[in-house]
Amino acid sequence: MFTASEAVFLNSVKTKDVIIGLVIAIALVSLSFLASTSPDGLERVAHDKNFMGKAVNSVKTSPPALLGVITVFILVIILANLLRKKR
Amino acid sequence: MHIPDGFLSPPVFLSAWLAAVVAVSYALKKTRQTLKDKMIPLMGVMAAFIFAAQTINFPVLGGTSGHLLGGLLAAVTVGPYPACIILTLVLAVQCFIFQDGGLTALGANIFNMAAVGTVFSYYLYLAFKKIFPGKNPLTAVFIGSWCSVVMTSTFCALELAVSGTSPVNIVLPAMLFVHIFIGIAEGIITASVLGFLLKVRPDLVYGK
Repeated sequence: MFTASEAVFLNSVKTKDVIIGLVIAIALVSLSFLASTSPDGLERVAHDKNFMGKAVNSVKTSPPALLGVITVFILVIILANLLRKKR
Repeated sequence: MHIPDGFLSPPVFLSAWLAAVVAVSYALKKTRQTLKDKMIPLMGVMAAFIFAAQTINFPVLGGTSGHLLGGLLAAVTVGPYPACIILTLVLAVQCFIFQDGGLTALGANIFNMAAVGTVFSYYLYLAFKKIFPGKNPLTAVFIGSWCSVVMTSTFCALELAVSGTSPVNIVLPAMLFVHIFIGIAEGIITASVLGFLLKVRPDLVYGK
C-alpha cells in the first residue's frame, strides 16, 4: 500500500539520527544566552499602540530552556506511541 | 507572537479554544491513521529542535526581536498533521512550564500557530510548489514560511481587534509591518534547514 515516495521516506531513522538531532537542539538552547532580549513583534506592537497594560502576567518562572527541550521530546514520543497503539 | 492573558475577551478566547480543539482533534485523527513507527523519534527530535529554536530571539528593525515559528519546517519534515501536534505540545509546554503565552489565550495561540501557521501554511506551500515547479522546493518553502508568519500575525491582530483590545485599523497594519520582516527570517531559516536536510538526509523529508 506504500507509494514509491512513502517507501523511501524514513527508510533509516536510527538511534544515531535521534542523538544528532537532540545534540543540535541542546547546542541551540545553550546558545540562547546570545538571544535578543528586545520585545517580540506582538510585545512591540502592544507597547507602541498602548495596550501592553492589558496583559495579565503571572509570575514568570524561568526554568532552564533545556527542561523544555527534554519535556517536549518526551511528551511527543509518549503521545505518538499512544496514537500508534490506538490504531 | 504568544498572546498573554488579558489581551483577548472571553468570547474570543473561548471561540479560539473551540477552534483549537477541533483542529487538534482532527490532527490527532489524521496522525493516528498514517503514523509509522519510524516517524515517532523524528517527531520527538523535531519538537525538541523547534522548542530550542524558539528560545533564540534574533533582532529585527532595532528594538524588536523575533524567533522561529517552525510550523512549516515541521510540516514539510514530518507532515502537516504530526506537525500540528508537535507545535501544540511546544505551545503547551511554553505556557505551563515557562509562562510564555497565557492559559486563557492558549487556545488562540494553538489555533494561530499550530493550525494556521502549520497546517494551513503547508497547503499554501503545496500551492506555491505548483507555481514554482522543479526539483528544488526551497523557493516555495521560503514564500510559504513567510506567509505562515504573516497569516499567523493577521489572525492574532484580528483576535485582538474583535476583543476590543486595539482597533483593527491600528493593530492590523502594525502587526503586519513587524511580521513582514520576521517572516523573512522565518523563510531564510526554514529554507536553510530544509536545504541542509535535503542534502544530508533527503529520506527524512516528508514533503519533497
